[in-house]
Amino acid sequence: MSVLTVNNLSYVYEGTKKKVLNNINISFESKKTYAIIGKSGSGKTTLLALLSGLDLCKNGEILYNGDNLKTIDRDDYRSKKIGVIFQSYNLLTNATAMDNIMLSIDISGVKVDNKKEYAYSLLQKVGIDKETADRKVLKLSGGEQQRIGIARALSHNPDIIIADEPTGNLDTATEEGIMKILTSLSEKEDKCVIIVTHSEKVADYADEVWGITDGKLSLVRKKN
Amino acid sequence: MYIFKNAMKNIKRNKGRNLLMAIVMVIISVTCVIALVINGATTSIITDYKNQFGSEVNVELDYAKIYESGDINELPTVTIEELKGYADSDYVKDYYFYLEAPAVSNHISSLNQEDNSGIQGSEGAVGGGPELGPPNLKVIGSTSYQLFEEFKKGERKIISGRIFENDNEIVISEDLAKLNNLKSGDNIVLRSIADVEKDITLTITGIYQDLTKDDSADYAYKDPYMTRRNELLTNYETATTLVGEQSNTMSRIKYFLNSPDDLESFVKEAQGKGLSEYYNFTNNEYLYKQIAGPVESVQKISTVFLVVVLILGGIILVLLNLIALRERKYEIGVLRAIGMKKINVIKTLVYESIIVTMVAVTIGLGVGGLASQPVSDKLLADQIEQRQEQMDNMGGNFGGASAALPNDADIIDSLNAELDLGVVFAIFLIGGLLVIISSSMSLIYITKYEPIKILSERN
Repeated sequence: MSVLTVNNLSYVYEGTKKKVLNNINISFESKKTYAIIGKSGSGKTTLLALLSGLDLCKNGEILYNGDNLKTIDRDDYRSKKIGVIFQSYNLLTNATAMDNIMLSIDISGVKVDNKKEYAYSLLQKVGIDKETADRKVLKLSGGEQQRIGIARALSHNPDIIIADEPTGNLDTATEEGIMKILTSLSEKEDKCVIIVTHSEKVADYADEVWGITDGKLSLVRKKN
Repeated sequence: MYIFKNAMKNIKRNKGRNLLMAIVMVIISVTCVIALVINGATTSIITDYKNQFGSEVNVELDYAKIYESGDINELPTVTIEELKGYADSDYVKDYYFYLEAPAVSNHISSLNQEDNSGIQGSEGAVGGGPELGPPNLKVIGSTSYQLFEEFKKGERKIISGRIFENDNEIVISEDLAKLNNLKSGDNIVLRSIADVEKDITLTITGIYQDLTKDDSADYAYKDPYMTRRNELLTNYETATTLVGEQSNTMSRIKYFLNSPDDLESFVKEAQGKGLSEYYNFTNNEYLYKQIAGPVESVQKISTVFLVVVLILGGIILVLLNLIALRERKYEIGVLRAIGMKKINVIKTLVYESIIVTMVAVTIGLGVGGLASQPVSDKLLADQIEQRQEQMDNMGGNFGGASAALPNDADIIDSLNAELDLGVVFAIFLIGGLLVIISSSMSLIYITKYEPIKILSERN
C-alpha cells in the first residue's frame, strides 16, 4: 500500500528558470527500501527535502496516506510521520547522544513508559552503547554520529524513513552496518525506507532503484 | 515542560556563551540599579527642595535696577493691601505676613548685651523712661506658623509651656529665660518703637530651646538684635503693635506658588496690578543651587551613566548574539528539521534568555543594592568637594564674601540610596529589554527562514 505518493512534481529554485525536478511521479510503499540515485546536482536532495516536508512544492503534489503535504501540519509530519537521516547528521553537537534522542521523543509527543530506557534501547539497536550514549556528539566518530541520526529518526516510530547519503562519510565496514540497519527496518518493521545516494553499492540494498537525471525520475531496476 | 528543560540544558551546554552574556547583563544590571537608586533618591530631594525654594517667593526691592536708574532718593513703597492684592492669584497657593520688629526692654537683659547698652531710662522703672536706645531684642510675628517651621525641623523645640495662641503671648529662648530668671506665665514689658511713651506687656506661654550652633562668639562685635536666642516669637498682630503704622512698610510677605514654574507669570500678573518695576519677586534659587546643586550633579552623572551603559551594554549584547548566531542558526535548523514548531523554538530561546537574564538581574539587584549607598556617598562627597573648591575660589576673588550661604546643616551630604519596589520593577523591565535584545537575532531567523535554508547555509 502506498504511504507516500508523488504526483506531477516539478520544482524550480527562486531566481532560476531551470527545472530541478521535472514532472516526477512515484509511489512509495511500506515494507520496501527505495534507492534514488543520480549524480551531484541531479535533484536528489531537492526531492528528499520535498518528501520530508523540509520544503514545500509549488507544482504538483505529495500525498502522505492520501493527505496533501500542503494542507497538513508539516511540523507534525516531520516529528511524527517520517524520520529523516541527514548526510551531515544534523545532530545537536554539544548535547549527548541521549539528549538528541530524548529531545526528538519529546518533540514528537510519543508516549513511552520509560523514556530514558527507551532511548538507550534505540541507541543499542544501532550499535551505540550506554557509555557512548552519554558522551557529547561532538566527541563521537562519523559512524557513531550517523547511527545516532538513525536512532533519532526511529525514536518516534515513523512510517517512513528518508535517508540522504546515509553512508556518504563512512568507511566500507561502517557503511555495511548502517545499510543492514536500514534494510532491516523495511524487512522487519514494515517501514518504507527511501535512500538518496550516488553510490551503486548502497543502491544494491534497495528493493527498487530509481534514477534521477536532469530532474526526471525513472525506474532503474527492481528486485523480484 | 520539555521546552523549559531543554532550555535549562542548553544553558548548561553553552556555558561559555551564557556566562559571557550573564557577565554583561550583571554589569548592566548593577549599573542600572545604582543609577536608578541614586536617581530615585535625588529626584525626591530635588523635587522637595525645588518646591521649597522655588515656590516660596519674597517681594524685594531690586536695588541694582534702582541704582541703574539713578533715582535713589525716593524708594518706591508697597503696602500690605497691595501685597494682599497680589496674593489674589491663581498662581498662589498660600501666603503669610511676617514682621521682624526691633524691641527694647529696660528691665530684662538680652544675650550678648555685655554693657547693657540697650537698657536706657530710669533704673528699676518698668519699661524705663521715654528715651529709646538701640534694640536689644527682636520680636518675630507671623500670620502663620509656617515661619516657625524650625520647630518642625527640630532646630527649635518647646521645652516648657506651650506655643503662643493669642495676642500678646510670646515664647522665648531657654537662654534668655535663664539669664532673666523667667518662666512660663511671667510677663515681660517691651517699649514700643512706635510710641516711646507706651509699654506693651507680653505673657510668656512657653520656653523654646534653640538647637542651632550659637556662633555669636565668633564675631568681635556682638549684636543682641542679631542674636537668635534673643528672638521672641509671637503672632503677627502682636508684632504690629510694637511698630504701629510702620508695620505697613516693615511687614514682609511670603507667597507659596503652586509650582516654581509659575514665578514668571506671577510677576507679570502683579506688575499688571501695579507692582513697581523696582520690586521683584524672588525665590531662593541661589540657596537652592548651593544646597541641592551637588545632588543635581550626582543625578546628572547617574543618568548619563545609565544611558551610556544601556546603549553600550545593548550593543555588546547584540554583538555577542551576532557571534553566537552561526551556532544558534544550526541549532534552530536541527530543531525545526526534526519537527519542533516555530513557537516552541521561540519559547526555548526566550526561556534561555529569561533564565540567564533573571539570574543576572537578581545578582545585579543584590550587588547594586549593596553598592548604591557607598557609590552615592562617594559621588556626592566628590560633588560637594568640587562645589566647595568653587566656593573657595569665589571667596578668594571676592574677598571672602560668604553672604547668603547655606548653613552647614542644610547642605545635603548624604542620600538615602535604598532599593525600593520601583527600582526592582524598573530593573525587571530593563531585564525584559535585555531578553528581547539577547534573543532577537535568533527570533528573526526563526520567523524568516525554513529549516532547509538554515541547514543548507550551514552545510
